[in-house]
Amino acid sequence: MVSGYIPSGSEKEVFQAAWANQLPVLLKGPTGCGKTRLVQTMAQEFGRPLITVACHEDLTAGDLVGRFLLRGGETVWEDGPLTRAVRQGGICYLDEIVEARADTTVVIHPLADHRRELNIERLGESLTAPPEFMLVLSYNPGYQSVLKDLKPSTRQRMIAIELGYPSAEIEQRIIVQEAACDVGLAGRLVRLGQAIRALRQEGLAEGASTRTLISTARLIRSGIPPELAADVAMAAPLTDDPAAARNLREMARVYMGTG
Amino acid sequence: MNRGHPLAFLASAIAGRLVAVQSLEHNLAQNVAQGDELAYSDGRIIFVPTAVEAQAQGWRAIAAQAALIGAGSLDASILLQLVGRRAAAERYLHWEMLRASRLLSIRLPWPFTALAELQAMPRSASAPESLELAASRVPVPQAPAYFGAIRPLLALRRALGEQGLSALARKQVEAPIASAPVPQLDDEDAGEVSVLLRLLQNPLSGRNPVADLLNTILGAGLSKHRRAGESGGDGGAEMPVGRIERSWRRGIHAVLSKMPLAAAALDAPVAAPTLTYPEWDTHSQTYRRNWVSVEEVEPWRADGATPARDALRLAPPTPELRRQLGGLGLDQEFHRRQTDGSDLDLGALIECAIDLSAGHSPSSVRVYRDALRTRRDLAVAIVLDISGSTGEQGNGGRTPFKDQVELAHQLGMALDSLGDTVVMFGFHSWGRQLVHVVKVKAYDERWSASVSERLRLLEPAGYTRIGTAIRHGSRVLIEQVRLPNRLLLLITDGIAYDQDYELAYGAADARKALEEARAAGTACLALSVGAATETETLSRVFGSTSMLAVDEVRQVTGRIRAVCRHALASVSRRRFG
Repeated sequence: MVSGYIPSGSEKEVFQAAWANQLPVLLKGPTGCGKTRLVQTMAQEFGRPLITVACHEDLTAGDLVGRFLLRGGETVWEDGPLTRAVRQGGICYLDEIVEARADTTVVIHPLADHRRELNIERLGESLTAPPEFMLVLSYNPGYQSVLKDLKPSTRQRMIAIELGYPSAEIEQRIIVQEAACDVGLAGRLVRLGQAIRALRQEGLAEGASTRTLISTARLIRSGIPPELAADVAMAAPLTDDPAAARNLREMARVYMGTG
Repeated sequence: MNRGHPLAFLASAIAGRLVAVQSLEHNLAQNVAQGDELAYSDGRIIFVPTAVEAQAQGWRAIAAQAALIGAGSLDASILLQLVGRRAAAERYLHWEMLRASRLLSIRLPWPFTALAELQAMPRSASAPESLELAASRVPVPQAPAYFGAIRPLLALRRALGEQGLSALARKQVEAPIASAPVPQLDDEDAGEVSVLLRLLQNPLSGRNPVADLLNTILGAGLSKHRRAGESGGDGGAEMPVGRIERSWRRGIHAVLSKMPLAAAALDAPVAAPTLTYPEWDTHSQTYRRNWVSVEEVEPWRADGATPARDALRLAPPTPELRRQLGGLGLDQEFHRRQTDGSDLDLGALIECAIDLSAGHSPSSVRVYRDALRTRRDLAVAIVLDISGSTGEQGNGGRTPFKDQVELAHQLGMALDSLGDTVVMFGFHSWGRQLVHVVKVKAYDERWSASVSERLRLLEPAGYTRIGTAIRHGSRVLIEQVRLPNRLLLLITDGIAYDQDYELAYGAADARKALEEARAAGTACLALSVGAATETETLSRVFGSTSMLAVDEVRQVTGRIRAVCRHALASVSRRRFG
């Protein structure tokens, strides 16, 4: 059960309107800023099933649409997640779409444009998506732009919702709510998060996300000392470099107020 | 150095840029001896006395200096006003610390912003306002020790080294605050002023526009304070003023001494140029055919000396860099008739089923298709800018040149060991008739000690004609290497500066050269290390996604793969799409 998504702006309203108008949505934002959470919340509000596909380099069109399997001496067709979402009128969420190869993303083109069709070549079948069906793509603009890989007609029908890390004040509220911790702890974590995000130059792959801040707060609530919690939930996952990890630990020590 | 100090990340996070922390015991002991046990910073390095560091709350001093950097308090145009004015500098420090702690409150540690001294409301909204406050002699409370100190001369010297003289001079002329000095500033330590002026009036450089400017700004008190044998200041001979001119002159001189007599006049045409290239004339929007003459030369030194190995120690690539680059040449392709795979190969399956139902044993059970990573052939040209400007002092006392050579070395070695074809050359020029391409590694040569040796022989000299370098790199890749996947890595500190090749013209020509190369299917990337000055122009010319600017070589590791892949993908799309 997902509840209490705290919006940073008007993302919920835009999402709702896109769904009502059968338009696909493109969610942009860094890892752990709440993209998945937003989709889950909206699916629940719409009362539609949510089918999530985490995209990766080895994902094939067959993985999305479906494939023949061998059963006994026969081949049996099995729907892929995208086909299932179309048949059920659900929300199909392709997470980190940039990770998928261009030849895979081709199958979503006719679904994303005005036709709203899914062609299943192997079956010689073409499904028309019901009005409740919605396609949601997400990507992290820190990597390359997905837009180039999409056809102009598709791109123009995308509603792009840009999510960043929430503002300090909202992030603090989110942590308080999600980890059920006190405002003081949340405030310190938010500052530590902001500071780590300012460290882009240090070659860290990404900043400390809202998600990691929440995890840290939860660990602290479970009785893990703040310094240790910040280390295991924030610093260690960010880097494998021992010197960088030590420096992050030092930061955590200062920010968590035990130094 | 940077990761060496445990609090370096804290400092960088607060400052919002790469900042190093140095304990004062080893390096600048003489400054400690001068009496102040306070932390201070030159804008890139925070110097912290070991005594301060040892305190339980020692991090405060580092956080305070980092906040000053983050708030722009150590801006050269401001600090220029504070040279030799210790009391004013202290007042300025007070007002700036209040401003910085509010400005950056959201990423400063909570225990820092909660400090009693920082609870007063700031009265200035910018560094110039703080300067005015400081000049107005509004009394300020005694600063706690963790505030540290402002050392204008030190920070100013760093800024001079980093931005180059011309940038600073321009800034000074444009900034009204600088052209209208604050008259009320007290002048209790004028000795330091003249030290600064003397530093800038380096005898090697002759008349110096910045010194003249400083003269104007700081007033005519120079002669009054100039005394023989005045002590103070450190390392004046290392001012970039003399260094730039010296290295450029040396470069020109060196080339002239090696060239045949007939070609020695720079404007005279070179007798038999090996290669010529066109150049794009943005003014007339046409190509100038056979405009630039390029000569390929072996690396050599005018003085004939072999550089000591320690002078430029070239580290091999880290395993991480190798790993990052390893995935570059890999591409996914569908292969049919596999024993295992993500999908059934229906053709093969039907044959197999026919065999089975006819009572034969199937000729093949390879009934799957799968996307496999297959290595493709990748050719990389590493094009290294070795113009004189790269020899200017920058990053932490290092020159971009050293960083660039190191980067070229690491990338070249890593790519070569991964089996890619690597060709490498340096380039510099003295006008369109004399563009030198210094051969470092030929495409049919494996990486060896002699390649590293040639890299070590390179010297920063001359100017930058970037369009020609791109055209030459692209031509070498296409005509000599002849592999389908081509990547041109241009390592440079800026776009263009040569005779009749000023910024706008050069940028337009470089853009044109890039267009040509990309249209021919060569992916192009610009890499810049430790040269903050012209990265904006670079990213405008190359496109922000085909450009990687970092402060230190090691930062390339985490990002090189993504930009290279993007560059390669964008040309392959263009070719096939």
